Amino acid sequence: MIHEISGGMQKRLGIARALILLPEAVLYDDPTAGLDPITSRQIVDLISAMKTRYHMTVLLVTNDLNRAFDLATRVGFLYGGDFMKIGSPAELANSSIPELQQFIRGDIEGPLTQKGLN
Amino acid sequence: MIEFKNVIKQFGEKQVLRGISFTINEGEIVFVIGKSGIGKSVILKHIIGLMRPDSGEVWVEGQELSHFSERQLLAIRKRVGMVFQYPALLDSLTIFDNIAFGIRAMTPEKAEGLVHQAVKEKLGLLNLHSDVLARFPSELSYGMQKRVSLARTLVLNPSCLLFDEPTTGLDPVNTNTVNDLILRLSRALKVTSVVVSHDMHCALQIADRILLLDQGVVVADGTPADMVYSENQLAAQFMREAKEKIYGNQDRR
Repeated sequence: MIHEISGGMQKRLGIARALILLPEAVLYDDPTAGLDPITSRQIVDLISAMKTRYHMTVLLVTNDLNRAFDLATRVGFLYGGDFMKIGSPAELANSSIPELQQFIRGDIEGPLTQKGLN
Repeated sequence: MIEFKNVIKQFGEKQVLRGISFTINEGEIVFVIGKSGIGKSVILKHIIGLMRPDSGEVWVEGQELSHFSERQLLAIRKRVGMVFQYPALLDSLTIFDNIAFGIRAMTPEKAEGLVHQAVKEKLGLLNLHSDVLARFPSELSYGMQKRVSLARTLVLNPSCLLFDEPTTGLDPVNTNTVNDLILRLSRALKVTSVVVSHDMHCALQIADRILLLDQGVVVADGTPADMVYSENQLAAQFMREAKEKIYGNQDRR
């Protein structure tokens, strides 16, 4: 039964279930949250391998910047109900937008916290 | 102080804790690290008596808990706060009532004005604005719910805090806010913190000591610096991930 297997196995099962009909696009909601780094790496590799093998479009929502930058062709930074920036990982990393810089650095003080961050 | 002496805990056929022993000193920040499903949360549940060991001893503040009655455990739970992995807020109560729940239940004689003051104070510590107080849990994002659950635990001013994956699902800014809070509570108020986490990066930043768990026992116990130079294979594996987090972004610039 489901509760008898680990979190990482449950995540992989969830991915298998989503992929079984070989969809053109897959939506992932924070696929690595709560996983240890070793399992997290396995999941990212799995997502990447499936995308390449079946030419799937991947739309992935995450807080994990490293994963986003590893996997993505494009990254969108969502703030205040709209995309503040969409671009390649390098474009985002080099962006001078103060909110984005604060997010990437994880600074406690900055425009995001002044305005109230969700 | 918290001490485990040869604690064994089994679920069905599976022995999760296999004679585990360790000590956590007052005011220390200790990270418990290990792979998913290794029994990290099980350790926390033993510290507040939600689980009892099959054998061995669990000592908290000079008392051995394994034979404590529920009433005796209640006294421990007033001083030892637990922040669960999932927010576990009460859906039918407003955010204010959720945060005030513990303080009202434990100290019913406390005046409402003081309850308000305590709730607002903790809210500010967690980057939450007072306009969330009248809302219900379902109206908040996961990250906000998680911080509300932290505020709910802090409101009783516990002397020891147990965190189960406190930053999972949080963005980098709120991750650092929570880490900074754990650090401040420890340094300013001598609050002991036991943090179960996968995040070696956070552990290296704020832990006084890291316990690495594998196969039901502690396989490495030391300061962040000890862990960086550890020859333990699992420690090295976790460390690679942490280094990538620290240096990864720079590499891409």
